[in-house]
Amino acid sequence: MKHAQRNTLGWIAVTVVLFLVLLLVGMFLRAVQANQLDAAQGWFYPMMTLHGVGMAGLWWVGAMACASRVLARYVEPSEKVSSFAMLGTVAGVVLLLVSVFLGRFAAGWYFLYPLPLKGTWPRWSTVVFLASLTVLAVTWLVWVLDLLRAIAKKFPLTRALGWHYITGAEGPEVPPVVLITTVSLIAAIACLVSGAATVVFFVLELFTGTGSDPLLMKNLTFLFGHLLVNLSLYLAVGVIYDVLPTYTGRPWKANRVVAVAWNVVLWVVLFAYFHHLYMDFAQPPAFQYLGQVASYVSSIPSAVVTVFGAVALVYRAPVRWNLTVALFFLGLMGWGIGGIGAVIDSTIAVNSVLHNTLWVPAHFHTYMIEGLVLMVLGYFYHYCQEEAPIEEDLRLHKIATCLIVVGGYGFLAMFYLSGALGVPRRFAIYPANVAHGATLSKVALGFITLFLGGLLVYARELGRRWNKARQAIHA
Amino acid sequence: MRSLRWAAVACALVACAVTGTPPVRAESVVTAEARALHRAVPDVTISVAGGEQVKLSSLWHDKPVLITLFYQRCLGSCSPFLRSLSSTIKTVGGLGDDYRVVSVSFDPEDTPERTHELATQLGLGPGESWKVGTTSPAQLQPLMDSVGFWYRAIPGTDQVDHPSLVAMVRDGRVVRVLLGNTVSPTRFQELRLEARGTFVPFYAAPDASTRFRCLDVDPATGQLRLGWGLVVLLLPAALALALSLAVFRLARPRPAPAE
Ligand code: HEM
Ligand SMILES: [Cu+2]
Repeated sequence: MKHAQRNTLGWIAVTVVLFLVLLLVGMFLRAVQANQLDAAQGWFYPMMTLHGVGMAGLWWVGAMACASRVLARYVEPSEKVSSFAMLGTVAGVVLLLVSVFLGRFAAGWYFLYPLPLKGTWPRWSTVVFLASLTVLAVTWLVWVLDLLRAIAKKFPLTRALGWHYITGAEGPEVPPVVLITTVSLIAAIACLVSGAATVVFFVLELFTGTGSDPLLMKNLTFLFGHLLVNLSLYLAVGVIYDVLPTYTGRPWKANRVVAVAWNVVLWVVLFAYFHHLYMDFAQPPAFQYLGQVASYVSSIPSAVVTVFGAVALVYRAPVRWNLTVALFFLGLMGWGIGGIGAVIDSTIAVNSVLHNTLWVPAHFHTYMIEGLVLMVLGYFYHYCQEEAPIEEDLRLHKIATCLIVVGGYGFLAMFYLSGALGVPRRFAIYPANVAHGATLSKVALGFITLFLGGLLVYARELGRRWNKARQAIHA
Repeated sequence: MRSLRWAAVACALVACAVTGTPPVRAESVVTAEARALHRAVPDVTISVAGGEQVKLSSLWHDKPVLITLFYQRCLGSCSPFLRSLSSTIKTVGGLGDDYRVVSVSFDPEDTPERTHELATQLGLGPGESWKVGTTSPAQLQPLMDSVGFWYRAIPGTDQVDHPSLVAMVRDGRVVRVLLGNTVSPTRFQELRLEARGTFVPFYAAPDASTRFRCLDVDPATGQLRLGWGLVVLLLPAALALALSLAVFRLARPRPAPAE
């Protein structure tokens, strides 16, 4: 039991501290774009790579940590594997830091082929970056397989996927978190294998000089990248299904609609990533249409079912709106809003206009910062407050959430506005014809500061409970 | 002990990757042209007829420089290549406005005067925008390496084997290379656009040496054929299915699950 608590407290500390660091890196990027840091321009792309890879990986492990802790209410994930996952993740992060800080590796968060082999950075930094990815992919694969093993010990596959709800057959009650996590973990295997395959092709080229097919590489890269981010969200949503009822006093059970919505995800989520290749003329047109349909079908039903269920859960229920409930609700809302931005952008006709403008970072930052991040932070607070209850000052909670919402959406609004005005993404310095990009960056910096303020209030509230919980373990 | 051995293997792999050069093989022109991209070009000094000493950086400080290498005694490709470059430049334009040209001899026997003579003979119009000359042997090798140029003696003759190339250098880095004895105006137009700061997309298209291609185009009919790459693309999903089934089979719940 103590091992489990130590692990979870460890994950919480790692996630919150790394978030603060990577947020400052994000602020640095915006400051360069606002022409405030001319001397440090040369660091823009290495830092953009660190920020992107770091954030995507961070919130994946954050969501995994929450999901495995919640799953432990029903099944027995191995705590040893969780500790191993932490070690592997830290090792991967160290390698990543070496490649961007010492090697100035700067191929962006999805290191699209052939850029890692063609940059101005030394060859060894590409090698270290690939080593980092390998360590992370292998570590996470072990973690995923262990959680699946734990589920399999208790539920046969068809039950874990809730097929008896769909067919109406007799069967055990399956907590929604088990169903949603099973779906996510199965897809996560494909995600991580695909990441590993990408690395293999890069390494082959490094050693033998044989080129790879850019189309294959881009497909593999996005099968990995899109899924990693998408599945992180699903894992966190599963956690909400399980934790929100403890605040409303009403159960949130699996039923036919819930089972259908999430099984649909399992079948189509693997094809949604095609929307990253709309601009690739060589991609067969059939894939493009499949991508558009899969983008809709993998997100809309599950989101509608979830938001509807969550609203029904709190409707006229005596809910105490502490940090957890507020962050969960805002998180679901952010997921929805970012999802709408994403669906707009994944419509082929619109994508040809918005592609590679700041609209793209706008929508994915929405469901990250105001979605996934809030869900995970909400759970972290819930966990610490359960382990080490301290009387709650709801005024403070309100201040934290307000700052996070106003600061976060203000920051995002500048991204959306820039995108709509045609400001390209991934420009360190905006040329004269999109000089308004710099002005909007400056405004964004103000909003980010508000967000940071809210986060610090949150961190203080969390930290007090975290400390108390840790002392309780050592006592 | 085991972990030590793994660490040693890993170190060796990393060392190979860092120092090893890819083996030589037949490759497409585009792949070969990509080889020297982004390399730093040394700021060598060129001696021009009349005693003038020109540092490359004084030429690339405000616009890109096109570097070519040749030798005066060449009976093979050098003269036709330089003539082709010169006539293409006249067709496409931009000399002196968008870029400068530097032609350097790689023959230690050549003098600035000899190279000037050849250039005048070929009608290159050596002058402010097109510098023709020599450099010291010590500076030559790094310059050749940086743009991907090489030569080797042809036994029994006084001639050498060498490629013909134009390397465009911006701010001391190779940004584009054109290979081949004739300089096509279409490709040179791309070079000029790039020199003016327009991004011209550039990447190696997959060819027969590319493993696991997704699609093949039949050049005769334009028909697409599916390749093994698509099978690789299915692999992650197939493995996800297989591993999940395996896990759920191996860790099956006992007959009476504790509810
Ligand atoms: C308040 C916090 C954050 C700030 C200030 C911030 C800022 C930025 C900026 C300025 C960029 C570059 C945009 C461009 O010009 O293309 C960026 C890119 C990115 N950010 Fe954030 N960000 C934040 C939070 C996050 C979070 C929570 C994630 C979660 C996954 C994230 C993931 C990414 C990714 C994946 C990229 C793309 C990198 C690339 O294009 O290679 N960011 N961020
Ligand atoms: Cu010759």
